[in-house]
Amino acid sequence: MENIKIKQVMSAVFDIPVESISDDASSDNIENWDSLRHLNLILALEEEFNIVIPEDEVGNLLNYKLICLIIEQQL
Amino acid sequence: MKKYNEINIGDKETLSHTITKTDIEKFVQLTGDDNRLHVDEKFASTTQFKKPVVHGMLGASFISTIIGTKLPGDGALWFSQSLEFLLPVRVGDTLTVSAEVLKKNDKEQFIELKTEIHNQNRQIVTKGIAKVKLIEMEVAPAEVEQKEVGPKTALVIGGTGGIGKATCIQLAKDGFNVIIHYNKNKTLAEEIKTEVEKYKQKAIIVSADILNDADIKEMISKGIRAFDKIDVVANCAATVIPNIKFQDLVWTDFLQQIELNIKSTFIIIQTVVPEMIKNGYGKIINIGSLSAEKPNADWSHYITAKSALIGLTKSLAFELAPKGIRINMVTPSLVNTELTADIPEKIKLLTAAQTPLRRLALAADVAGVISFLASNKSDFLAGENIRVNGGQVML
Repeated sequence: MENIKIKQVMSAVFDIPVESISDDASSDNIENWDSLRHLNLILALEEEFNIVIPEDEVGNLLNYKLICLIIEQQL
Repeated sequence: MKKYNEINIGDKETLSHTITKTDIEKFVQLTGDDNRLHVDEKFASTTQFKKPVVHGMLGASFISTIIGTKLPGDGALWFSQSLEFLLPVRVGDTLTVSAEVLKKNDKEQFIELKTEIHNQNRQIVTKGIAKVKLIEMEVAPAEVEQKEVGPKTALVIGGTGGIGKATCIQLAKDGFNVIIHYNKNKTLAEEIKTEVEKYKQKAIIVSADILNDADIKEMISKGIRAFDKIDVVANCAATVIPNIKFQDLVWTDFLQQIELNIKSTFIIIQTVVPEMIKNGYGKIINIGSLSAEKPNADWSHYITAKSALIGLTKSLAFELAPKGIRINMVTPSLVNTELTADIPEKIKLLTAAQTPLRRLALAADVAGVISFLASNKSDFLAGENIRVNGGQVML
């Protein structure tokens, strides 16, 4: 369930269809994934899941799989 | 091209050529020597020769042909020639050019040739002495070694581990016979042997505790009995690396890593090297760790041992290279194997995401480089460390 929500958040932040976000999604294949949108993604994820992503994890949200794993740890 | 020591006094080569009017025209065109004695029949008729005379150097140029193509052939350096033109040559004459080895100068590696040109009437028209140096061809040792008969034999230490197994199979694919070392897992060793044999290579399995001198000696002795020689040793033995905080480390934690990485490697090399020296050729490949260059916490015991292995590899490479033994290293980053199965998924994902090639190393990636270092394609490498890390560390 969380995984679908994560893709929806990513879709909104990166302004791309949710169907285009694969399990291998990363800044390598999402053109809009720049540093500014990365910060927006963190804020959006925190808001969606009502969590605070620790500072030392901010740089680790490098792809969809890592985002899932880190969100899961924070829930 | 003949080699100097393949040439004997008395060796002789000949060639024949019939001089045509076209030959003369071409010679004139090339050299600009249009002396009327050679090209103008009317003029020649007014001389004692009555008919045009072929340029002396045209006939003599066939001496160059015989030296350059037959005796000694390609690469000959013709540095001296005396000539006497004894009789005129006419268009239509068939010349037989001969060169015969008169002397050999071992010190300077040149030969003296008696060069003679006869006409169809067996008269000598030109004679002289040629001196020719034989140029040594620069043949890469690898090319020489490629001519060796029969496959090479590789001993894979830790042959049943992730990297070890992939190495056994890669080496078999690349034409090596394989001695598969295992510690306890005989069933897996047998399976790998069967896999190796699918590639039409021979394999044996040998059990040994590589922390035990006698076991190592017995293992190497069995390998040599089976294949007559060991050309390559790939040290792929590895063990689980426990994460231990520095304050919790005890000396035996270090010792355990040092014994596996240094003591066993030292004894294996010391035991196999006399055999390799006897053959004048050998390859030893050690496996390093990226952590020695890009350290992480809680692994100081392991990193210390792997760093020592870099020193051992380089110092032995320096000492043994003159004897034909090439010792090199392969340093992988985190490899996806059974040994790393317990590493948290997050670490693996992060490592892959931070690697320029965006994945973890595979055992096959490492095996490919090991096989390259085992092959004669890498014969000019010694003390080298090839990093297999997808671009994580670039030096």
